[in-house]
Amino acid sequence: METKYTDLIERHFNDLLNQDEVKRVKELLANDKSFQKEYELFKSAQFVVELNTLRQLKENARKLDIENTAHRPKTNWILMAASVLLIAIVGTLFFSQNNYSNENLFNKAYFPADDYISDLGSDETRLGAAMRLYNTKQYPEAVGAFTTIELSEPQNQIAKFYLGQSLLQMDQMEQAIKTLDKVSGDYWSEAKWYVALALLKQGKEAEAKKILLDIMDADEDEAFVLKAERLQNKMNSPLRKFVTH
Amino acid sequence: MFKEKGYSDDELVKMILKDERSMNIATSYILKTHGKRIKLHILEQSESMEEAEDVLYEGLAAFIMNVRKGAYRSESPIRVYITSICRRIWFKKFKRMMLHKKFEEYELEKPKNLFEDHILTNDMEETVEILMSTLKKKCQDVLHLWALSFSMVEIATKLKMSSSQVVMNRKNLCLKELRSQIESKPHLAKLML
Repeated sequence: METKYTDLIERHFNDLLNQDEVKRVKELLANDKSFQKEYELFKSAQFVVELNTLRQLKENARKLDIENTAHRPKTNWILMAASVLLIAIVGTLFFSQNNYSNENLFNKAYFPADDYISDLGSDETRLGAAMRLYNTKQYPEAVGAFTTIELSEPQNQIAKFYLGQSLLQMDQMEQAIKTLDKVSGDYWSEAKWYVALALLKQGKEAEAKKILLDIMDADEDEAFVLKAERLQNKMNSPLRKFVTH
Repeated sequence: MFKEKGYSDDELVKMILKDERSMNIATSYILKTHGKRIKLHILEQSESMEEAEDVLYEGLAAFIMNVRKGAYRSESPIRVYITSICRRIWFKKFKRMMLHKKFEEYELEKPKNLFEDHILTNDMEETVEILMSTLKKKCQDVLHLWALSFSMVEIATKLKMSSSQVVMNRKNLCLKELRSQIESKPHLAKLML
């Protein structure tokens, strides 16, 4: 199809039109059927070219993925046997020290949450008073104080977060999980991190892993994304599987 | 044991924008580091490894197109961005008829300028292949690089053509040939709608 419009449309698609011509193209597109038809043909051709490139990139990705898999080291049975023996010895050592147990992973990963808010001028408030109880490790009293705040201010995420922390300190895992699971906003990633740890301590590995994945996927707080990745790696470690199953 | 070089997201974007060799290294690296997790994500929905792989490769291809066209502006980390593209592709491609209102509403709220809006169905792939195969090899190469937003000067250098104007003329001629192919095969063109 060659028409009186071909040159104009071609220059339009090459971004070479001046302002008057751009205006003319708009008018023709709105009013001229033969122009519209040729314009659509140009668009279709461009669409075919782009889809073809997408198709080629997709095939290329498939090829590269297959190459990646093929370049993984091939199985060497002697090396494998030696590795198994070594893993068995090391694994036994680890096992005897209970290094990879849920309890141990929890103990290594768990640090009580710091006080992030007392410097924010909250000393004279109910929250400040509750934080003082938390900071002085009076956890049962802190639970009471944070619960009071939470009941009157259900949207107070800080109270919810530290209520969960206090419950963790008192080893009330179920309650802590339920409380921390409801935290949203700035404390979300950290709260989820503690939920994962509490689940791990309870031996609920699959659920803990799911929470770790949620933290990584949400990607909201890099520090906890990294922590989640590290803990996930430890939990998925082949050595751990070897010694704990 | 040698440790493979790690690349940051910014470095990967620069590699994709540089040339095809660097683009391949970046693609391979993304597949190695994020491929497995993205596939696992898709598997949570589909339970078919074939679908998961298809969606991963197509999502990665769409990501590269977006980077090359300037539509990816590092608004989220590469892994999160590709995962989101893949979820969208999977939904559009394999769950088109499914009533999945919540997911659909969430997905449709997203901006529409991303290339993955054009998913590749089998019909489309075949049609595109047939139409492009009617063009000469040189035409296919010029159009491929042009679709990847390489400049006329870059294309001239890569394909050993004498000037950017020659590339521009060749590209226009190739597109003209393609338009006449589309016009002469309306039944094929319909498959792409």
